[in-house]
Parts: sequence; C-alpha cells; structure tokens
Amino acid sequence: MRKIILSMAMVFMVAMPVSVQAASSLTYVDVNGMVCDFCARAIEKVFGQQEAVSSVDVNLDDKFIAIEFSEDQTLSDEKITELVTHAGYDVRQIRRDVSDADDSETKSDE
Amino acid sequence: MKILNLVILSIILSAAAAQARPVSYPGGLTGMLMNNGDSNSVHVHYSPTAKMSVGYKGEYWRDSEYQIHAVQVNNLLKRWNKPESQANIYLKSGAGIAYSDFGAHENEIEPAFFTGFATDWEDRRRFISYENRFTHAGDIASGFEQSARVGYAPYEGDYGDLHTWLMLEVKHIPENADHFTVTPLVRFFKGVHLVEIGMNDNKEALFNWVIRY
Repeated sequence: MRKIILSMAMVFMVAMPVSVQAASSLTYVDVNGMVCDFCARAIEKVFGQQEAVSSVDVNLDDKFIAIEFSEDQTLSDEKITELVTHAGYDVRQIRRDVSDADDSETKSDE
Repeated sequence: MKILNLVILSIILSAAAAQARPVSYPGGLTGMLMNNGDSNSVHVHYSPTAKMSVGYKGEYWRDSEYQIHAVQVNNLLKRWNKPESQANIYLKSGAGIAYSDFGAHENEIEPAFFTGFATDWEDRRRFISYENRFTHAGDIASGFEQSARVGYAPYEGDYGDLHTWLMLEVKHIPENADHFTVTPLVRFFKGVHLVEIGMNDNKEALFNWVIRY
C-alpha cells in the first residue's frame, strides 16, 4: 500500500509541471509594417498593458511577435488584431501554439 | 527631359529632415531636440492614438533671431504596412506666436502658423523621406522650406541592438543665401534613444536627439 501511495505521489509530482505548462500558451502573430525598434516597442507596450499577457517577444528579422499568456488566460484573434491595428500595424497571420488546442485556429486578414 | 529629371530628383532629395516619426503609439510620449545650420528646436508630443499627436513646438531661427512657440498637431493621413516595409504620409501643422528681437522687428510679437506634409518609406536597410513646410508669422517671418533624405543601414540589428544609419539630407530654403544645403549624417538608434550627428556643406553642425516612451 505504501509503495502504491509513493508511486501515485511521484506520478502526481511529475505530471504537475506539465499541466501548468499546458495552461499557459504561446501565440505567434505575423505583423506587417514592423520595420524598426520604435515599431517593436509600440507593439511591446500595447501588449504589455494586457493583463492576460505575461510576456511579449518581438522578432524584427521575421516580423512576428510571440505572446505568452498568463496561466489559463488568452486573447481572442479579434482582440489581438485590434491591438496590433491600434498600435499602427497590420496583422498578417495569427498562429496558436499546439499546447492551446482549443484556440488553435489560424487567422489571416489578407 | 533633363528638367523633368531634375524635378523628380528635387522631389526625392529636396526636402526636410524626416526625423523620427511625428506620431507614436497610443499613449506614447516623444521628445525631440533638433539643431542644424538654421535653427534650434524642441518638440514634445503625446499620441492619444497611433494616428495623431499633439504637443509643443519651440523654434529659434538664429540668422533672423526670431522664435516660434506653437501647439503642433501631427496627423497620420495614410500608412502602408507591408511585410518588409512601411510608408507614411503625415500632415504637420502648428499655431502659436512668433517673437523677434532683431532689427526692425525688435520686441515684436506676431501670430504664427505653419503647415506641411511629410512622407517616408523604409525597410530594414533603406530609408527615403521628404518633408515640406510653409510658415507664416506676419512681418517677422514667412516662407517655404523643404528637405529630403536617403539612408542606408550597413547592417540589420535585432530589436534592442544599436542600429546605425548613414544618411544624406538635402535641404532647400529659397529665402536663404545658400538655397540648398547638403548634410551627410549618421543616425544611431538604441532603445528609446535616437541620435543624429552630421555636418553640412557650410560646415554647420547637425545634432538631433529623440527620446520616446
């Protein structure tokens, strides 16, 4: 019995971080017009003000932003598009990370 | 044909320093200090949206010894966002007062207005811009100016790196003895700071500093 409890506890401990990781997700947004650091900073500021966003990483070379959401939170494609547009840029495509299976739709506005 | 080429070249090369963009992101605050062979100026603006900014513009024109203090509104009329580039057209206008302590206009104050278009196109390595402005400040000052820039970045830096641009500015002020001035300059861009250092063909220095939050 003790062995069984110990085994269950180990399984639970190993599984725990996996389930936490699955709760947070990465979303990639391809952005048109993002050509300089001021552009990147604008995007970073706008998304950084969102409670659902835990971090934003801007890639100027490939013109996309990687948004990491707080645990169990996300932004809809419409909201992401609105934020990018309000910052002065255009969304080309939104790509949801595989860990966020429920929101894995890809959106294009072109 | 030669005249047409000259007109096209002058449109491309003949206008004002398209400095950092005159409109920021929503909530963005920008400060600009501009110093060149003709004037010293400060421009502080706030952008409530990504399509307009409003702020204070102060200028001191050294040869004619007059100042302009104005509220300036910048509007983004059109932006083209492409996967590898961006282009913009802005309208920049201001209204305020001009003050002179020079010659016949000593201690004179006049209403002052100015307006002009600015346009730019850039990708990660190439930059081109044109800007013009008409100023009316009663008897103190009135005139047209335009300038243009071309720029090239010798390398592509990542976000947060030091970015370097080599630029050439051609400025045209018909009222000046030297109608055209040519200014090679270097632009450094890192974080929230943008600094430009150059010297024109009259050996007058250019120093611009932009900070954006």
